[in-house]
Amino acid sequence: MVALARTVVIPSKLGAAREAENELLEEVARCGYSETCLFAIKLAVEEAVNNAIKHGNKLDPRKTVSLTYDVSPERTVIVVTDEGEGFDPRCLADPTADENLEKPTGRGVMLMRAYMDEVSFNDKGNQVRMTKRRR
Amino acid sequence: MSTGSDDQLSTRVEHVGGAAVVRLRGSAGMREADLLGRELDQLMARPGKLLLLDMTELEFICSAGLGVLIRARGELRARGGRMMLAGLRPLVARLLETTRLTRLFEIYPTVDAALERLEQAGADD
Repeated sequence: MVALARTVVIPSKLGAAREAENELLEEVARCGYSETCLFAIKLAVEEAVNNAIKHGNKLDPRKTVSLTYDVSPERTVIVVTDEGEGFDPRCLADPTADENLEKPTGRGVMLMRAYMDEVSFNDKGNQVRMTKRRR
Repeated sequence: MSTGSDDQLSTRVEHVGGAAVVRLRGSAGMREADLLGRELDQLMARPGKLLLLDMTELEFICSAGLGVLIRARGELRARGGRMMLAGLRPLVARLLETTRLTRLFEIYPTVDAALERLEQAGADD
């Protein structure tokens, strides 16, 4: 079990995560991660937090999102948890299928999986844990 | 020329020939996607049918930003218009490949290449 270094609790508003996200990315940059890794981590965090706020908490201002991260020179671990009912990540449509290409939504989880080295959800489906190794 | 911006994303619109060229600068993340959507909506409310997005200075885009582009493309095509993307940075280009949106969008290496293609198409008409 990794000891996670920092937890930030964010209100269910899209703009609220900016400061926490910037602090996380500054720490990642300080640890010497490549531009490609920085892009991947920024993308994954944005997708996870956005999903948590919009789909998990359904923009309910009484609910919060927890962003926990631990950044080391070897790897970055990020855990995003919402207060929603959760979902089954196995039941998502493939956004890269021809019939889904013109749909404007539904790419978040696929992008997290494509850009991070490890992505897993808890049983309830309201928490995602992502790891990126430094390259 | 018109401009729009927040602290992460700025847009500047110029009209070149019959095309509206939108120069995007910065980051089109979750929080900026709404601004981008509003800018494109305003442009599409005008009579022109050609929209060229200059992404040379766009450093980042997430699924919400991509969703705005997909929606704009669909609305434009529905009324006989055309949307082109140009000057994608390598990381943004890779994102479009990962999502297979390279199959959806008309993509050019540079704005000049896109404008040249439009000129050729005009000459062919």
